[in-house]
Parts: sequence; structure tokens; C-alpha cells
Amino acid sequence: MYQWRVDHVRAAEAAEDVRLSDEQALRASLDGDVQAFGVLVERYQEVAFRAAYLVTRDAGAAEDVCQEAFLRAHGHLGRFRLGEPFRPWLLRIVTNQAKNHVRSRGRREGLLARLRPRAAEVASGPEREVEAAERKEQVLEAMNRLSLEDREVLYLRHFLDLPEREIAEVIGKRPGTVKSRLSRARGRLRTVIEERYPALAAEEMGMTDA
Amino acid sequence: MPDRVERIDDRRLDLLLAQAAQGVAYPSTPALRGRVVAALGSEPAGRRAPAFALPAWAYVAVAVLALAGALALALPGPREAVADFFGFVPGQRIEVLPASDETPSPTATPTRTPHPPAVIGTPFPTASPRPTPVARRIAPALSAQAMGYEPALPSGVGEPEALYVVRYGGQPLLIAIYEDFDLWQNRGSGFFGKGVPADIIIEQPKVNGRDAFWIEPGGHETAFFDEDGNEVRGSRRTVESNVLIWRGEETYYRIETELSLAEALAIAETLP
Repeated sequence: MYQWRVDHVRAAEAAEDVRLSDEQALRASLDGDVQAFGVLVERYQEVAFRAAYLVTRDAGAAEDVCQEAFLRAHGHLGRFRLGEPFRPWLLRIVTNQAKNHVRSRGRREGLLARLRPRAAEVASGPEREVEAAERKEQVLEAMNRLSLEDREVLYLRHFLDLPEREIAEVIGKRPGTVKSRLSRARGRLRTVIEERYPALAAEEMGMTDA
Repeated sequence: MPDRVERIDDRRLDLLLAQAAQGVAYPSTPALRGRVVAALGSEPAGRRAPAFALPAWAYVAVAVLALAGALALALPGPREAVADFFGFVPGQRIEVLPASDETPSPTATPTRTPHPPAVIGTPFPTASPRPTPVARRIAPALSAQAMGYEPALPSGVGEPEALYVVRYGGQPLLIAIYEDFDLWQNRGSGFFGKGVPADIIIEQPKVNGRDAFWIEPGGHETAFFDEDGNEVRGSRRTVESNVLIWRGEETYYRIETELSLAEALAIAETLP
């Protein structure tokens, strides 16, 4: 019965959420309607959490980062230009919070260690699946050899599928700058893979050492 | 090792990235709505905005020549950035924006701002006719001689990795490079303009009871202005890190860092 009530409440909230556009929710938030801001939290918490997780690679940290980012966003809504898309503005706060977290966590710690294969990510089972998981891990390890800025644009583009114009808003640069930054980041990733993970490059052509 | 390095074409790279993206096992998204709403209570949105809430690209003209000039040109990414800008070491993080003799953006010129700038300290007394300062690395023992006073350095953070002195408009600025932050200081006066986008967070904390500005995140424009409010040619750039600016007893300070405000304040408060 309790579960039913919870579901019922969630369904009612969801129905209400759908009726509110971002702009309506933002206007209501500016008028002091905290619940309206909750609609935006509900709507964007997943992409925000994923963005934070990609940068921090730590679920707990990503959760903290997201919560703080939403609170900050709410606190600074006065500066948000109504009519502009909310998601990139929010993601900008999230990614900056996440980057600050990573940097202050300790530059020497290295993201590589935190990206060691995890049970959830490296599934046991058929050899092919294991190989695929290892390949993914190697790509992530290669990415961790890039700067935080390089990783950020790669994550936004290739992991969160944001279009370049939205990435531009997230990182506060012009679209042309995003294009060139992406190109440079891809180039550097390409170099890292070729130099350190040649199997990834050669695999398709059967050029591995094995 | 393979006999030769295999090149990865765009298609292969896209495939690898797509596979990696699909392979990320995201933890379950936490339900943040309730917590955020509870934390907000009845606080009106936008309440945390500073008292002088700025319109888009409004100007916060902050004194601090010292930092100013230098800051105006170097990036956070410490030594390489500083050295790079001044032509010592090749780097890749410096971004110098169009010079002022190009058509300025309507919001990037102080004279066009609809609100008077908030100013800490006194205005920059002399125009800087030359846009390119020259910085040099100096030994700590020579810093007092170079600056004309005994520079103070924060305690509890160890020794700086390097010290640079840059002259801007004839006035020396000291840049102390630490692992996690750059500290700029100067006792001259100056006029430092920033183009601050609307979504940049500006706080007005206190450092030892004195007014300060905290600006985060990076990505905001900064430029150096002469006494007539004219942007010094070539001084515009984008600051990529968080910035804490304040004036101590006699000295202007500026910290560029990726540290948090609390951490930056802890450092700042060890300075006189």
C-alpha cells in the first residue's frame, strides 16, 4: 500500500512536471516557488549526475556536486536569461563544480587509479565481452591521460551527446572554439591511443602483437 | 610492440569513443529533487546573487592594478602560463582575445556599461602606453628590491615554486607560483576591468574583514584599462580559473586558483 501511494504521488508529480515548461518553472522559481525548481531538478538530475560522474568518476562526489550545483543554480537564477536554454547553463555549473572538485581532490591522485576496471563495468562472462570491456577501459584510460579540459569536451560531445552549440554554452566558448577544441582533444586522444594502446588502433586490421 | 604505429582514422576513433561511452556503468541517479527542495526551504531564487547583481557583460571594475596588468595577461595554469604569455616557454593555455583596436563588443567597453563599476582601491593613475609587459623570473632574495617593499607570502603552503616580476605601466607586480594557485601582488593602484557574463558567480566575501571579490568559474574576460578608461591594447584575455581579489593593509592581492572559495580564503587570510 505504501509503495502504491509513493507511486501515486510520483505519477501526480510527473504529470504536473510535464505541464510546466522550463521557462514556466524558472519564472515560478524566481517568484519563490521552490517546488517549481524541483521540477527542473527532476528533469535534469540524470544528465547533471552523469556529467558530474564522468568528471569525478566517483558516485558520491558526483551526487554532492550535483546537489550543490542545483543549489547554486537556484541561488543565481537572477542571472539566468529567461528564454535561453536551461540545460547548458546548468551543465556549466555542474561541470565547473565537478572540475573544481577533482582539482582540489588532489592533482597527484590521478584519475587513472579511479578508473580501474570495476566489477560493474567489466562483466565476467564470454571472452568477447571481456575483451570489449577491456577495450572500453583502455579508451577511458587513454582519456585520463588528457587534460581535464580535453576530457570535458569529449565527454560532453561523445558521452552525453551534446551538440556543439550546447557545448559552447556549457564551457562558455564560441561554437568555433568548441569545434577546434574538440578537434585538438581528439587529436591528442588519437596520439595517446596510438602510442600507448596500439592494439586499439591495430585491432581492426588484425595487427596486434598477439 | 607492433612494428609500426597504426594510425587511427576518425571513423575508428568515433567507434572507440562510442563503445567507451556505452560501456560506462553509471551509478543510479540519486533522487535529488527532495533534498534540493528541502535544502532550499523557502529561499527565493536568485537570493544568493550579489548585491550589485550584474547585467550580462556588465563590468566589475576592480582595482588591483598589480594583479591587474599581470593578470590581464597570464592564465591560471601556473608557470607555463605565465612564462608562456611572456614568451619564455611554449604553452598551450594562453588565450589572448582580440586587441582593443578591433571592433569591441558593445558590452566590453567600460564607457558603455550602464552601471558604474564597483571599485576597490584607487584608480590606476597612469595610462599604460605599451601593451606588452616583460616578466622575468627572480630569486626570492631579490623580490624586495624588485618590488620596493618586502612582499608577503602566505604561510602554511610552503615555498612558492617560482617568483616572477612583471612591470605594467611602470609598476612592478609580483607573481608567486604555487602548485595549486598563483598569487599576484602589488602596491600600486590600478584599474582592472572584467567582462563578466551573467552566469558567472560573484561573491563578496571578506578577507580579514576587508572587502573582496570571488569570481567563479573561469571563462570571464579581463582587460587592463588606463586612467581614461581606455582598454590597453592587447591586454584582453579570458581568465580560466576562479579568482579572489582583495586589498590587504597596503597591498593588492589576487589569487587565481581551482581551489574552492573557502580554501582560497584560508590562504588569503594569512596575508597582511
